[in-house]
Amino acid sequence: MRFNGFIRPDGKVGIRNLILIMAVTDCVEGIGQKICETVRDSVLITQNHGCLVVGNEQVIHNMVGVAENPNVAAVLLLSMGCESLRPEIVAERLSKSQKTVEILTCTKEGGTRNVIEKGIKIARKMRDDADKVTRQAADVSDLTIAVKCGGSDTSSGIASNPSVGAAVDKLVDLGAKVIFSEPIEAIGGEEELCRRAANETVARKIRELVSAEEKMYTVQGAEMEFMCKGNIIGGLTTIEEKSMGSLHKTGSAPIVGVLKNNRTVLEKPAERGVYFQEGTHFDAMTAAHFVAAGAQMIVFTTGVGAGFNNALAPTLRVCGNVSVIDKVIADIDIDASNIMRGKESVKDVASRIVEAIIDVANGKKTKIEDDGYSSFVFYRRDPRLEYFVFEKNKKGGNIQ
Amino acid sequence: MRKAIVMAASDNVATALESIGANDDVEILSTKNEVMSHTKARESIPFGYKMAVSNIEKDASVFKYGANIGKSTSEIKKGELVHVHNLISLRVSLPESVKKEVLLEINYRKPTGRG
Repeated sequence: MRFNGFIRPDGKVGIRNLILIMAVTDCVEGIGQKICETVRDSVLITQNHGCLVVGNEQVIHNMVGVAENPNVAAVLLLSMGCESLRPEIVAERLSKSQKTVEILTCTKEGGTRNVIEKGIKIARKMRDDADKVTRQAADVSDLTIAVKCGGSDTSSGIASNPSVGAAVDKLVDLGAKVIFSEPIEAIGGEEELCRRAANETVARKIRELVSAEEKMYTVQGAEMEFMCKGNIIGGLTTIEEKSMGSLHKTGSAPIVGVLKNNRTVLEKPAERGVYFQEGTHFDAMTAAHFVAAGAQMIVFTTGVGAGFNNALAPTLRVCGNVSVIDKVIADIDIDASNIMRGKESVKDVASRIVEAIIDVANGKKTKIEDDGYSSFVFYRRDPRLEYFVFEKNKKGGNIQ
Repeated sequence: MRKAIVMAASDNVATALESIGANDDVEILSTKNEVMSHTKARESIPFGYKMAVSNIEKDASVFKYGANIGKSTSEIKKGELVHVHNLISLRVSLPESVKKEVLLEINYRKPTGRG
């Protein structure tokens, strides 16, 4: 199945043509905002975990991954000048992508106003050059589609997730790569997932990934909330119930890999199939992980009609909740509520989802695209927490 | 006639497809829209919440999607609400404060005739 996309120098295909302005530390975020404001289709991303390197290894992998995403045409890295996390660290690793990468350092340019002026000039030139690149013929096998659920309630497990799952099966058949994450939402569903694992190595990695996440949330003496009140008001009682409903969105195709995303390495999907990505379940952070792994778009199922919006990866919303659908329909791309009414089948809705995905790949905007982006947040496990929970007792730990 | 859905044949809870009132008759549907059975609701079951479709003993497994989604913390009668007041996870516990807030917000009252 074909679509038209932006073919980057490294052969990857973007479905959007964005200029990425990355503040490598939060000190230059304001500068980035001033540049971004004046350049059409530019996106500012700020790295908020401080300006050090040791302890930020996972964040750096993700900064590189995000810049490599094919929806990005060119990259402007902004820095203050005193950080350990020098922009050159990121730029060096981007050479393989052959993208245009420029660096601006505030203290080297003579201060804030100078660097803003220079940044605007550079970003505008990047924009002009990117505008000259036209869409070319590409294939669904060039797509990496991420699936996530949020604001989950019981309609998620009955309508929206199963219809996305059926769409995922079709997309994988057509050659696409599909990523899901949220390892906490596999607690209770491990056996289901392992049954679909392509081989024993993948099954072992699935168990390790979910077990590590469970350990993070069951530290003796530390009570932690792990699913939001909205879920519980929506009718979900236990993580097992939430997981079983959630996993329906991953379809029934074999799980061909577990993608690491930790301080050692960030892995990307290589071939068609379904992949389980190491990560978190917080929306903005999971979205950042998806983008870092190369996902060009995100399909998001919402129980209560709520959700997030990502500035680099268009986010399609699917909602099956008959009680709220009329109130939230303006934000919803696919209304799956007829499944709850018994008027439409999961298969029918799945076909509409696949069509919508191709439309978005071709340039059609999602209902919420361009309006109110959520923060782009780099997730980072605290290395000290990791040490105490995992390494100190030499049990479990990161996936191998 | 109200509607609720069971996700797998072995489930002992059904999920309300609409708000169900105490003493309402409920049609239990399969995922293929076939009518599996009928039950009388013993209390209100809000939209999306679970209702027991058989009697569940204390400490027994609760099944949804054909999977064990946790264990009951008290005896549950067929037709009663199943949620944070009588069902707990076997894996990760919800903070008590969150459970209390939820029950307050849905105005939960124990059904009459229960201790």
